Amino acid sequence: MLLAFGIGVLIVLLGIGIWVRFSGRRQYLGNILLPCCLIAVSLVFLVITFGFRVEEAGPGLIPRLWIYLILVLSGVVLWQALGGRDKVAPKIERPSLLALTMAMLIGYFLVMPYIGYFLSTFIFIVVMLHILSYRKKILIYVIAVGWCVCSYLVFYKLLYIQLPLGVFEDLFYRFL
Amino acid sequence: MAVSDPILANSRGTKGIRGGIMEILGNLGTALAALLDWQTILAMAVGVVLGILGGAMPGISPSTAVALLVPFSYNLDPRLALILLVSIYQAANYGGAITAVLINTPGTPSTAATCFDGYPLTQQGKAGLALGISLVGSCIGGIFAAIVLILFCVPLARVALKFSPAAYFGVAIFGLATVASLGGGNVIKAIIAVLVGLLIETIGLDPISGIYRFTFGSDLLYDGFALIPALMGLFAVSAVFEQFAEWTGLDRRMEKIDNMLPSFKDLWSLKRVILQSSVIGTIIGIFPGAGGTIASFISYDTAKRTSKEPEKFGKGSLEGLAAPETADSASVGGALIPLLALGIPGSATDAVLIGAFMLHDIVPGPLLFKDHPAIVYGIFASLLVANVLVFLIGLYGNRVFIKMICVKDAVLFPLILVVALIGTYSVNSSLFDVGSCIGFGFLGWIFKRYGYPAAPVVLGIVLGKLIEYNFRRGLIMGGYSVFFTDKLAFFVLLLAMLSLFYPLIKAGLNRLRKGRQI
Repeated sequence: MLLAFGIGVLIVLLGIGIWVRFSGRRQYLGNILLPCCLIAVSLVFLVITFGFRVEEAGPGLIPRLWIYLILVLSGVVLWQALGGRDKVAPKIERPSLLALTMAMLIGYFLVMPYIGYFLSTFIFIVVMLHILSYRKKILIYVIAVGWCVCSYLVFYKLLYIQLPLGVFEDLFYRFL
Repeated sequence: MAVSDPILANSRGTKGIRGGIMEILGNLGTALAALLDWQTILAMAVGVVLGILGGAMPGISPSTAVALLVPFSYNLDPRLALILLVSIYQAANYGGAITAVLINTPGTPSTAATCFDGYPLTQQGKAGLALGISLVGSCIGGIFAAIVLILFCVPLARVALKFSPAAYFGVAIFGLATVASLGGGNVIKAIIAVLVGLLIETIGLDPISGIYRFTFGSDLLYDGFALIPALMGLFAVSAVFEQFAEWTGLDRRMEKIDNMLPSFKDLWSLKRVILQSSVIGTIIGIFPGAGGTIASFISYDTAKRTSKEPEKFGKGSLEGLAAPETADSASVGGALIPLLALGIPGSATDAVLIGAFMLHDIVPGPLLFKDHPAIVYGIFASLLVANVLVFLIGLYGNRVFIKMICVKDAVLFPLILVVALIGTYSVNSSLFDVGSCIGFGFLGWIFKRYGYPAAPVVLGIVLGKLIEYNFRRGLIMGGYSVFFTDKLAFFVLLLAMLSLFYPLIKAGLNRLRKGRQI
């Protein structure tokens, strides 16, 4: 039932997004969608609290207090945005760079358990410096390798913290 | 550890916190003596250097600089870790002045007022003098606030020990309310940010009833979200996203500086402004949410109104430079008073420091003075010494710092992302924490983009359990009426409501006045 409720909420949000996109309030799209998302998430959490056991000063009391306040205040912000009284978000100068960075970060996190920290970090730093048009090509690789070496010294030798090694775990402990 | 035994021995066998002025000074003397070992001096020196560098880099706030180091302090002795982090906090406020003076770009939000007179001085060829005055003002303001912290924190902690759960709930709500109302920007959005943080903190095991809340059946959420991923994501990762969103790729070029030490005559002429700003900065720093930015602007405004030469402000006035820098530095000591005595963070960086305390299983608040006096007095002593180190390292190291600040953003920001992720991982060796950190990074960036501040989210997360626990305990002990019959609880809750509604009422009255004029 919660899943159906969640899907319903997503459909409503999509509908609101499409309506705003093609209405005269296109510049307020984010300003409208964000309070809508807060309201949606709060409603999902509110539904969950009805399943908590009911008692004096019970587990649902405080979450419901915060949820009701979020619902009311998000409603006020939504009303301000629909009325064109909210501040428009600044233009993103480099949307492709931002999107690429976010994608790289997620990719870095997803591959780390498989190929380990050192290789994934080396690839991340090299790719990011290339994306950011860092001109000194040889220095890119020097920085990436230098960072990995420093990480090894700091985490393994100084702090005694093991980092994810992925498929290279056996190899790592055989040689280092 | 030499300092802990005599201070702890003084406290043992007593029912509360010992805090007469002679005992405070005695313990402080012991703590100062304990700072003389090489590890502590190194920790403070490293903290000061990192703080100056972190504060100087536009895009990295003091809270980000401290947050990045928190996970790495995990393996240090708690006293050493907190001394390191407090040194970074103190030094970062001066660090922001370097870029504010040299390239008219505040390194931290609280050094925006420093640009008004700092950069004109650079344009007049007096960059060295400007940095020297910033340094002296920061040092004196910081030491003044540290002395106030030392004298007032212990008595306040003794009073706080007597707080009922209802009173503690009220004080925590007051802290959050002032953060939301004084933080600048849209008050309603700031309150929503606080509430989001409070709601996030309810995820996981409820300590009173023992049931799991909002875990969606996942055992990864049984303990809720850890504080460190939230800190790293909301401060460090989101800050990098903001930088990439407005990426220009331009290099920073800075002026060369010559002699930095101001003359005695210049310094003596600033004595009134420095003292005045020290007081303003310390008092404003005490109020949760007020912080260095508000302190520096109020101090600048006050200095201008009380100056014999107000026309020089904005054109390279030495008073106009000293005032905000002194107040900004003094606000650090002020902000530590509610943090240490009550466990209520007074600023975003304080919230990060609470994370550091929790990492070492230490709970800031009045019991800290009873259970860990060595840590408290260690912080007191290190704050005094750190300000002196800021002066010395700043004086002789500024030329090196300026070269290091010119490192390209293309190198700096990807490395910040790596440090944030791996720092998060290093605390619990958990990839779930790393994923949470990225998630909080997205949340922080989206929030900031649409005018919802990220710092109140962290404060909500930090104070959520304290607020809920004391509210429910108060309710169980005395019902809802306890929040009215407990005088202190009622008073602070009333103050909290006033601080929340005052900006809204003021805005409404202004609109009415404008409407009548038309």
